[in-house]
Amino acid sequence: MGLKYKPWPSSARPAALRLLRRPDYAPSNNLIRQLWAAVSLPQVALDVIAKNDDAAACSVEKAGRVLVYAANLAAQGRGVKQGMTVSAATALCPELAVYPRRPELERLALERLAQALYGFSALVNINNENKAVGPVLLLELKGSLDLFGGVDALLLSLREEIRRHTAHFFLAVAPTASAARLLALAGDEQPLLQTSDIAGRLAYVSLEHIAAFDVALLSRLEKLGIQHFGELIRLPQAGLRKRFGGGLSDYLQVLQGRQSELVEAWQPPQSYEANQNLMDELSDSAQLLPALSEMLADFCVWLQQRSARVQSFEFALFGYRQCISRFEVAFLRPNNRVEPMQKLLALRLEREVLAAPVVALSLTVTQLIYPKAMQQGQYSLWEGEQAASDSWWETLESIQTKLGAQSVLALECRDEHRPEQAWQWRLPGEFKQAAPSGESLGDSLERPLWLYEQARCLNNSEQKQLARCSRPERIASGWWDRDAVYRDYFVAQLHGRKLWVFRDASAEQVSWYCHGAFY
Amino acid sequence: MQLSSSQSGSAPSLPELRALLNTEQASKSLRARHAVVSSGYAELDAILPPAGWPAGVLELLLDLPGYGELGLMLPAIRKLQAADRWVALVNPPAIPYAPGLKAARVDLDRLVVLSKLPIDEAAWACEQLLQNSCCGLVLAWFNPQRPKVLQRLQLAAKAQNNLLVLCRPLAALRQSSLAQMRIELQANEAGAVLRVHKLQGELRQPELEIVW
Repeated sequence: MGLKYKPWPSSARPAALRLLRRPDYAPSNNLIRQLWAAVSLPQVALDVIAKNDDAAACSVEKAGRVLVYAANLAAQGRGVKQGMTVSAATALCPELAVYPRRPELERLALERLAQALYGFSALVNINNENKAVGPVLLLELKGSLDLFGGVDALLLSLREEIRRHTAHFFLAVAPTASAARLLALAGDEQPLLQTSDIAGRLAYVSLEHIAAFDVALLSRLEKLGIQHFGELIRLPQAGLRKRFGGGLSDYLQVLQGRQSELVEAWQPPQSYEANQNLMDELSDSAQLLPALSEMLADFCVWLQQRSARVQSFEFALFGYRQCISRFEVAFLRPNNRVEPMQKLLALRLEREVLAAPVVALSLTVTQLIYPKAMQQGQYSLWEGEQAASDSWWETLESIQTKLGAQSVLALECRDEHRPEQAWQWRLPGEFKQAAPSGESLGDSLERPLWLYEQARCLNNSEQKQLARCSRPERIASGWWDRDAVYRDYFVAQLHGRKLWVFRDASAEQVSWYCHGAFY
Repeated sequence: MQLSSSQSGSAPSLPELRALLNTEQASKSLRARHAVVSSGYAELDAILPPAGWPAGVLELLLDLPGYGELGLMLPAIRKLQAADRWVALVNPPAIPYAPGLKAARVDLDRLVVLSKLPIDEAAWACEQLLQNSCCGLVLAWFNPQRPKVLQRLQLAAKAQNNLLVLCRPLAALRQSSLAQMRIELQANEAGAVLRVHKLQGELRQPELEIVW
């Protein structure tokens, strides 16, 4: 029985903005005070559109002209460059495939990557403001070093995780966020661990990667013959401040870790919704399973990162014009593991008959459970206990999924005199509200194990053989609604059976009914 | 023990003796095996091979299902639930009455009911339940037509040390069955008469009376 360490949910963290402690830049004693990773995605605009490696480019319209926004390696090899017109690019490379840019897909890809990186650090930042350079994701690593077993191990798993999302990226590490960002943009993947080395390593980085500068400033610097950071850093700071204003000099201080830096923490979305367009139209529900399973896997990562569990979620299948089907997958116990979810999904899909081909899918969460809610005595948080009973709940869930939500039920008592209403169905996972203290109704009275849905009227010969063996119990209740009862109940014997019978005390003629059986 | 010796009075032949020895050994080894749960009735435990209900399928044959099954299994249900195991009722012939069950000290939080399923679905659900070690006892009312169904259920129950009690009408006695136990139950207001038709590891077909 292992207790696993669980990080706090992000909601427990105090603020979206975190002030970074100013690092001590005295000669380093191998102690890492600050460490940031930056992931640059130079090709994200193409990655979300073109999946293969043939020459491809995506275009944007600017002032009436269609320009190349990004080109992949194959296209770049043929001389296609960012900013040239599409007609010029196709002249250079006739087989070039040109797609319009899809910023919303890029944003989605960045969000997904940020989601994945959120598993490595609580402070992730999407740096996408500057349109001239590609997007960069920043993440704070210092806090995660112990958990992942050092810089090397952390970078290895980080790299592996990013590779699952995109093949084209640079991962750089530096003691300040800005420096890491510059290195990632420059494609320098050698880890930089010490604050004192920043100036040296950045010396050859071209100034064009600086997002903090405007173009005018860049050209002014160029006129001075300054093209690389090394040249800029070497200049006397006071003079620089005088000439170019505080912005540039502050930036250089931040870059070298001499001033603290504000990095906005990206917050994972509070609710979950995923949409996916299919490559082909699918008309068999079994064909949908791989795509839906993949969506579920992403969803489970999201859940696990937030230490949340899901109680129910809904899949919607869309055709060309309308929604073809919606179905809910519900759990008896909140769940966040992917295998049982996929199993349930497969069972549910068996029941699904598609009226029209499906071209798009969506996943919406209908009920989420956070650990806080679970702590309030409603659900057990102890992992060991959970694991033992989880398989049982999964069994019940799979039966429910295949045979219908109401196929597996549990019983509970109600405080009510009328026998028909003294009990009710409930879902097995539902926990009773705090049971009323003290004795509930009829605890001392003899009640049968079986109740007949319809009380059976005894015929004449049965009535004669009926042997009452208890005093009558008058149950008169429900006069305020339609189901008023006014009956005398007896424990009786008939044909060697112990039965629960009653006679209607309000009726003129005495007739006997059998309502239940003991044993 | 009765030997089916052809010539009465003469000594049993060697194969017969060997068969007798084998059954006794088998009976002994079965007795040594772990029971799922004690039946709660001393006289019944005395004849059941592992001194309690063994894992597997018990066919309970009744002239009219819906009387006596729960009474017979109540002690086992209570013991299993006390050991944190679950009890399932599949296709009960009437409503299991919550106040009565509660008064009989059945834990309603460890009881699930699957009602009104067609035979195939009921069998499938039983198999799913029996394949889980959290389950202890499944009490089911349906009459499977294919012998293969019983075989599958028996395998599932044995693998996870669970007991399936399958309540069938008396007419099913005319068919052979792969269930390891077949017991005819005639319940009355004070107790029940059990007529053992088949019991793994037993040649006898004892009849006994229990009191609720």
